[in-house]
Amino acid sequence: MYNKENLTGAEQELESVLGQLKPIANTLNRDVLMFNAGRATAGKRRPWQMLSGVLIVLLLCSVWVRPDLNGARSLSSGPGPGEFQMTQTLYQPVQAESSGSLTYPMLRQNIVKYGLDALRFQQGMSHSEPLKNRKQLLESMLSS
Amino acid sequence: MAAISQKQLAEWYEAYGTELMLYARQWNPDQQAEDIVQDAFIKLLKQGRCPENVRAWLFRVVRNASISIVRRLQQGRRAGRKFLHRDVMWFESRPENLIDARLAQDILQTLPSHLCEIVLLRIWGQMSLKEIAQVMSKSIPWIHNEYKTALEMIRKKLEHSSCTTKRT
Repeated sequence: MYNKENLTGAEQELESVLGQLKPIANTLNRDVLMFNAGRATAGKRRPWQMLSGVLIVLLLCSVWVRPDLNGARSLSSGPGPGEFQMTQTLYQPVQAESSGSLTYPMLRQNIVKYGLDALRFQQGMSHSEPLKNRKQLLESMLSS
Repeated sequence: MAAISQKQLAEWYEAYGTELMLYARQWNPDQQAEDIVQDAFIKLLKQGRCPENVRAWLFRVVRNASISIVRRLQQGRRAGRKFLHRDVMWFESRPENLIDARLAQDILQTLPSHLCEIVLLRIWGQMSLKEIAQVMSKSIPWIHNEYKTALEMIRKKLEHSSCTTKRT
């Protein structure tokens, strides 16, 4: 309805004269536009993508922070109550054996009971004490 | 309504980018016009669905963004568009032009804003009166009348300028 026919000859001529003018070429870089467009659309994340991302992070954290089954805790600052108990039960017999105040009466009792053979038997079992001369040991026992 | 690919976007940019820039320059300085046109294309891609008339849609987005910026500037009591953007050239100055590029730009810039807009959309945007009516949210007869008025004003100004050139 409203086409060029509605314009006068002078108006059409003016239209064509003006139409010869070429707009200044676009200074906006096409590659920059495509990059920005891609970045803008890539920023759109769906909820399930975010949720799965959070779950992966949590899984990795749980693997990293998992306590060691051998008893060595990487993140704890001091020994826990369970660990303290275990230490006590492990080291108690060793302390009792190595303590001189407990082994000496037992040794003396054995020598009185079984003679000098008990001393030889005791040396074969325990290597914690240095070997002494039998005579010296006998003298030390008799003198006490 | 199909989804938009980046390849399609690049094609539209090649086809309409320059005209959109010219259209945006009537309200904005060069850099701002670039940003507005770029935003329009990004908005189109983000929208996901292809509008019925992509060209009209792009021109409308550029128009809305430009007008909102102009209003913001006016609220801030800044200078009007005609004093701000005179330095930016709209057209290439070529010897084969029948009319001087700078003169044509000056005449267009002295027109009332809506007349300048209609002329830019019609001649360089290659839009039909119906499309211009859609972009400007006006009726087709109104656009037609205003377009004729704009052409008449341009003709008179050209005659006036050629008379003054001859005298000097």
